[in-house]
Amino acid sequence: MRGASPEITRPLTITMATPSMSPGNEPDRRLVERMARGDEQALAALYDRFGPALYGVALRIAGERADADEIVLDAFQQAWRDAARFREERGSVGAWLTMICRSRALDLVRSRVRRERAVNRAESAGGGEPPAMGHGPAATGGVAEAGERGRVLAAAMDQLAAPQRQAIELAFFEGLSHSEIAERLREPLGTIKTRVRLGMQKLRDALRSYYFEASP
Amino acid sequence: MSDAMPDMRDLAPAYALGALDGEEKRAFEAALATSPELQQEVAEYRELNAVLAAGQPATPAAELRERLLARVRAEKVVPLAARKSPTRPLFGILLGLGVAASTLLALGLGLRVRSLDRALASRDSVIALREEKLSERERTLNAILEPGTDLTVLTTPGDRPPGIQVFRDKPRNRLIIHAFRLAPAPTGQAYQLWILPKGGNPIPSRVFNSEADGHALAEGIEVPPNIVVEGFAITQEPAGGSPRPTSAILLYGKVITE
Repeated sequence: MRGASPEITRPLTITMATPSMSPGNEPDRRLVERMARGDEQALAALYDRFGPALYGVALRIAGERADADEIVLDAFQQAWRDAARFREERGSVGAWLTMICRSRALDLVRSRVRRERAVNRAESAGGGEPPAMGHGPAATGGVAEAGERGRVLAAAMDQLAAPQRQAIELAFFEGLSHSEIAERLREPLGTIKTRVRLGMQKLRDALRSYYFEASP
Repeated sequence: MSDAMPDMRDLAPAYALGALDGEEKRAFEAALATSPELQQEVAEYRELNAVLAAGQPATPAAELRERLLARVRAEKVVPLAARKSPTRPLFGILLGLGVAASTLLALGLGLRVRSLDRALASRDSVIALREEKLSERERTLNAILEPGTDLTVLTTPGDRPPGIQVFRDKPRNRLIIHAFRLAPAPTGQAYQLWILPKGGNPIPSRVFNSEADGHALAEGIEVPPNIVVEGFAITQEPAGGSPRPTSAILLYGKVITE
């Protein structure tokens, strides 16, 4: 992997190629700056851009629309409060919002002990196909809405071996650590670490040209 | 890059996913704090998280947007620069109110601190009790594992019958008994241990009862000196114990190494 991406050693500006970056739209970071000054319209614009993506991940993690509603509201409210602390050099607005939303969702699931349900769900699917990410059925019409991004992600996910995809999904959507994944799947810890690492590296390579933009 | 760095870079994907824990996470974060390359690596994998999230969008309810805006409006703070400067008298009143509010706040905080102190003291005593209990357990365990301690198991026929382990510390001539699956004795009754000496009558010993879960533990039971113990028995007796058995033997065990 390291050999496959030597450019990582030089300064890299990462921008997520969301629809927000299409010409004529105000850059995400400008919206965050406006939000930091108390501009509600900037918040509304960010919600319009990232709301569906964040709602999708919240729904996938929490499993219920009422919970997803609260998670997304909380996430954007936190972004509103913390807008002045956003630092572009640490990552894109999309990554920042995703991190907030995912943390909120995982916290909620943990606090309500929904993990048990998730375990049962995963176990009932155990041995068969792991839940699909990227081209699996989103909770509500996700495939249609994913459009081009969804197709590219699906293609990238298809490059992964099923166990790699499963390990990444357990980490991403259920917030499990290496050791928890190993316990869940009854696999050696080292095997899980390798699956997560190689899977993520493959995804990064596959999606780099589409989602990341390197600047010298 | 240091020699250790490649290993750390291998952990960046998992760190960005939140899949590291324990010592590995601490070590990675320590390295991350001083390595711009690692920071860049993590940032890139966090972008990948955003991509993964964006792969399955879903449509939120239409009113969610308005709920969000209503929420932030409710907590919106008007920038200080936009406020009109208050006139002097009003400023004085506000200042006085502010001082009063601060005093009340300080008083409230003082009470809160005192309440927290009390809570902490209570926790301390709970912890002390638990520590004492743990120490007791440790002493018991040490006594059981002591060289020269013999074990006799008292049983009775049946399917999953109750049992009692009698640990005898021969150098100190003391017993520890541990009962299991032994139902608590009826009200007004208790169990009594009998030491069975060679060529003599049963010697009354510890009276005890079991917990609801069928367990009982009794320690420091003295064995009379200058006797040869052939076995132990348990009977059910009045709660205060009896000088001689008044009921049939419930459990019996013969000492093998005496």
